[in-house]
Amino acid sequence: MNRFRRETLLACGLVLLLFLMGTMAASATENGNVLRLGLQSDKFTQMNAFVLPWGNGAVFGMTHIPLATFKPDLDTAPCLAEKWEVSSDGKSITFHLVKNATWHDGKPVTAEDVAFSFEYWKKIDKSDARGNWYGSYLDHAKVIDNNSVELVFNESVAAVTLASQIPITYVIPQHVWKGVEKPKEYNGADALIGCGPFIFEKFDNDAQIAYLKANPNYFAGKPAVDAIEWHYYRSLDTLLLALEKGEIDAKADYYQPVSGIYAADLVKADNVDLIIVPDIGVPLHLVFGFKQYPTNTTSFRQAVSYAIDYQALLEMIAAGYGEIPGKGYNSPALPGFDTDLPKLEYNTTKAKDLLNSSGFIDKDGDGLRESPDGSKLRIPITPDTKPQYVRAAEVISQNLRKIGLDVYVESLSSDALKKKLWTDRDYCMAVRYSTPYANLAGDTAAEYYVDLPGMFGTCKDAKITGIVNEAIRSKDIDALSKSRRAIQEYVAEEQPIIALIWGDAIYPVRTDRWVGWTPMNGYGPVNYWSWFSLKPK
Amino acid sequence: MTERTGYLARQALRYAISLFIIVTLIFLIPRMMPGDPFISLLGEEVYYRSPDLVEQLKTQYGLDQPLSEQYLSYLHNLMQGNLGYSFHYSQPVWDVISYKMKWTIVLLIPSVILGAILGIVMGSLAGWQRGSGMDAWITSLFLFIYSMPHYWLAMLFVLIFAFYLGLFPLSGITAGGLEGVQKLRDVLWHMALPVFVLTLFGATYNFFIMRSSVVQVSGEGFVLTARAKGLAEREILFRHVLRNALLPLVTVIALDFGFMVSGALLVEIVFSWGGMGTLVYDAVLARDYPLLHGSFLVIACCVLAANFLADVLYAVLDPRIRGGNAA
Amino acid sequence: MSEFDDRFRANFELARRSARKASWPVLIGLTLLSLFFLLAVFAPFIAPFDPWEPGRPFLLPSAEHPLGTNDIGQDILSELVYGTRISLFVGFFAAFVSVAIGTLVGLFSGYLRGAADEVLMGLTDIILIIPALPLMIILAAHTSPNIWNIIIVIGALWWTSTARVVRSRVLQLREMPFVEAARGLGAGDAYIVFRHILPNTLQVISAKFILAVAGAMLTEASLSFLGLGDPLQKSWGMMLNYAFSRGGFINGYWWWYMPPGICISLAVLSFVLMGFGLEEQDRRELETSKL
Repeated sequence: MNRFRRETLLACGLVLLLFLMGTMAASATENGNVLRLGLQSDKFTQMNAFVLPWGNGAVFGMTHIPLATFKPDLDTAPCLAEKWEVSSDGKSITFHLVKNATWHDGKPVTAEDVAFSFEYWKKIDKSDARGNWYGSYLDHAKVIDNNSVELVFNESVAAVTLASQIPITYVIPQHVWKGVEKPKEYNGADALIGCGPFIFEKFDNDAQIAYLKANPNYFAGKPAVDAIEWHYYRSLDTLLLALEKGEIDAKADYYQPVSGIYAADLVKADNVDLIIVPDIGVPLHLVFGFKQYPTNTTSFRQAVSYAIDYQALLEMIAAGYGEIPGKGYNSPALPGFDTDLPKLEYNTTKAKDLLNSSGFIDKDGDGLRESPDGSKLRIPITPDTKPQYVRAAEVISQNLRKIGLDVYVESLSSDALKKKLWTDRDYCMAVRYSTPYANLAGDTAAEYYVDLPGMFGTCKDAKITGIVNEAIRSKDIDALSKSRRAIQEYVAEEQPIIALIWGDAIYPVRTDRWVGWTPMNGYGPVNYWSWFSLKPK
Repeated sequence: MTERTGYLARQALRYAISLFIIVTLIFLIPRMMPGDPFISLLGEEVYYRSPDLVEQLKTQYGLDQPLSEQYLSYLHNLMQGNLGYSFHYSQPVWDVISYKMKWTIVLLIPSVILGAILGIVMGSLAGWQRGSGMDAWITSLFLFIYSMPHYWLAMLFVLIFAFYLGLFPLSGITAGGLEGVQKLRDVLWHMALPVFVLTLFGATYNFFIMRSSVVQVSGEGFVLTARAKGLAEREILFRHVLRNALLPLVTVIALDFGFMVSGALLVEIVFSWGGMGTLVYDAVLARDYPLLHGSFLVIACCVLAANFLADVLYAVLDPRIRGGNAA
Repeated sequence: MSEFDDRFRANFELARRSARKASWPVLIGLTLLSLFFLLAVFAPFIAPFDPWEPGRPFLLPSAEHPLGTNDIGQDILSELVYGTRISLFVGFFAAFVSVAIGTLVGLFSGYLRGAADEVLMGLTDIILIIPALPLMIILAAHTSPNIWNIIIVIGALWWTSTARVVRSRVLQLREMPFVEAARGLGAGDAYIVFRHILPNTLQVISAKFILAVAGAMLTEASLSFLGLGDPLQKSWGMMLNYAFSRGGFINGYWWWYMPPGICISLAVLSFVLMGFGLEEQDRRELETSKL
């Protein structure tokens, strides 16, 4: 009995193994002139221009394009609009469109479509940054002639709009979206019709791959890439493993550079290169809450800034890919970066001195400092839920304990965290990050620490709120640069927020099938310009 | 006959009550948790961004109504198959779940069957030869597998067989662009590792039950009689012992479903298999509560159905429940 | 006299042989468990570093750091040693909570019978059916991630199998003559339950307890892996979580993700072996008593 059963089982096993190996051979497919990209941070849900990942698509410039797009150095370049004029009072912009742009279904792109797009962005949900901006500042969009549109604002925000909003606001066809009340729920087959260099073909739900093909009628010429396959991967590890194995050529996520801790393994792989660009976002920062004591005290915040070991954090969180930040917070890649400001310093003596002179002394000899009035001091540090922020918070709390401050890491459920960070805002110190968009905006990332309508901070100091309000209403780029310097100087002095790392933005690509990526500051190699500069090897 | 139907009717009633309680629990949990119940219902993505949207949706969801009215409309929605709307997926919850559920079932059915077979075979071997060297080896092996965290073992498999040896794909259900038979083979190839891991764990569970069942039965009187009659060992094992030992196992296979669902959840995540496991995980990460609650309801229903099936099988097979006849 | 001697010696031999045969799993399990127990109790003396002290990250195994360091430079070996504490703690407490509840329910249900029995058993059946892990995920997602919530969540869902088993035993016991005798002497229900019945269910309870600890440890590991664990505790499950989410997997740092998994397996194995071994021993006793 035993032998017979054992033998049959063995035979079955062998047959199964052979079968599987046969299927393996059959699965090897031909490559052709197809660019394979990997997606990880947003999952494919609806094939709809307003739903992620397509909703962030303006930077990629695949199916939908904006009037003007970011240049590789984050300046503004013409795209759907070939030129524009900003009015002298800074309250309106007139865009002149290219003459031969068409939608993917053949219809021509007109000024009406553009005007419709902006009015549409204005009324759709305020939870989108664009909706919020146009809802607050766009008065109306006016069709001047078949190829010209004027955007009229109710305040002098034209310059800032051009610098930070226009490149992320893509134009949509009026004939598709006109009657649609709830854009995110629309599931029509034409929900991805745009006028960009690529046309959406189909989506394989089982394999989680979106297929796009080059638009032969694109007004700036057919892209060098014939077709794109956008593969979704659930975890970063699987995506990077697939990249190393050659299943995909590059990673295409909206602002998701790969952390330095993966770089070591990636450089070892054959045919994988790391494209490193200056990062415009700040991958790790510490923001103070002004609703709590003692973080509302300048000398305390300055002391904290001297107590953090930035070099160690750099090594732990970014595996050394980056540099110690400056006191001004914003990264050197930002247009308008203030080069005169000093770097942050790790100096426990200065930290202790500042605390001592401000009255934070250990009176009862337990090794922990009390506040000047003698009451016990126990300060929570609240990290975002992702592991790297929790780890950073752990390290910082250890740093602060070394100078005698009783700091502990507060780990909250996601709901409680959101409530604390956005609604109640009663945190002492929060560990998070800022996106390129936030830094490029008029407020230059002040939204994280300033308490103004539509912003997320707690500081009400009239000095900074004044500067921020001015910055948003800059009449032109020069005025914006001036305001940005003023903001950075304030931050260096008062330290309402401390950048913890200025990272390199690392984007891995394969080198064996495609060459000629055009890397963009902050956002990496997968962007509008690469479609025309890439060549098959 | 009537005894059997009576038994089944009682069980059906029990399950109905269970279902009712589960449904009510899902209604109550978000409203009982500390913090704003509204976050729990909508997921925070919507909540912290836009206060107007929140107000609008509050009335839409009837959260300004008294609790009893909310409960009634909740039940009403459920009966119409409306599980709510997932903000994360921009689709109705039911649409998302029905698509993913089928892939979990694709994974579960072969695993449950193979796990049962493996467990039965190994368990009866070990139980029949209890105390021998073979029993010691097999039992130790299964004990060790039982002790391992599912997902850790699954991760090791991915690393060894998929990445280093390249024998199997790293993740996913299928590579793109295939149709028909080719697609079927591709899916089978992707299924191989996850099914293997799930089978192993299912087998351990069944192994122990089968083993103790066989051990128990082989200690009973009729086996001694059979031996005394001079029957061959193999005949005794098959004809007498297995038939009696199999009965509890039949119900266990159906119950396996409930146990395997939890195991499948974790294994799916490791293999990036697009089924309920990854759905629940993503819903947790995104705190998309409508999706999370909907998934739980569907999973609970499936488990209840599987249990009921087990009861039906038990009633059919167990001679003691037949109308009047003794074993 | 010699006949008695012979029979005594024969029985003793039988008992000793069967005791020795059945006890290998229990012995191994006990040894493993004591090892972990010692690790937990003497952690500060055994661990070479303070596991909370950050240092140079991602160091390879060396003489100074036998298992290297993790992503924030903490010594992995020390983390492992201290992790024993949390993992055992969660295991024991969660098991204790679930077994305590289960025992109480089983005792009352089995002894009182009638309506109380129906209701309690109905409740048990219902909770038994609810798929545990998904519900735990939901509860954990709603509450804040700390170690006590996890213990409560596990305890709240697992008492059911203990309850059933205790109830069966109580049903058996309550018919026994010594219970009737106690009742005849005028003893109250509570007295009988706690003084007579409970001690006799201990064998059944301890078997369940042992398996519950094993299960609780595995569940905590699963919840931590899903990101629902307490991120501030150094449990083995949390170590695995960080190893996988902070690049340990893809960079091939097997010294980071293998040891915690092995420890979980061995710790769970020790309990499972004991449970299994005790069950075998029971059966053997039952058999020898039949003869």
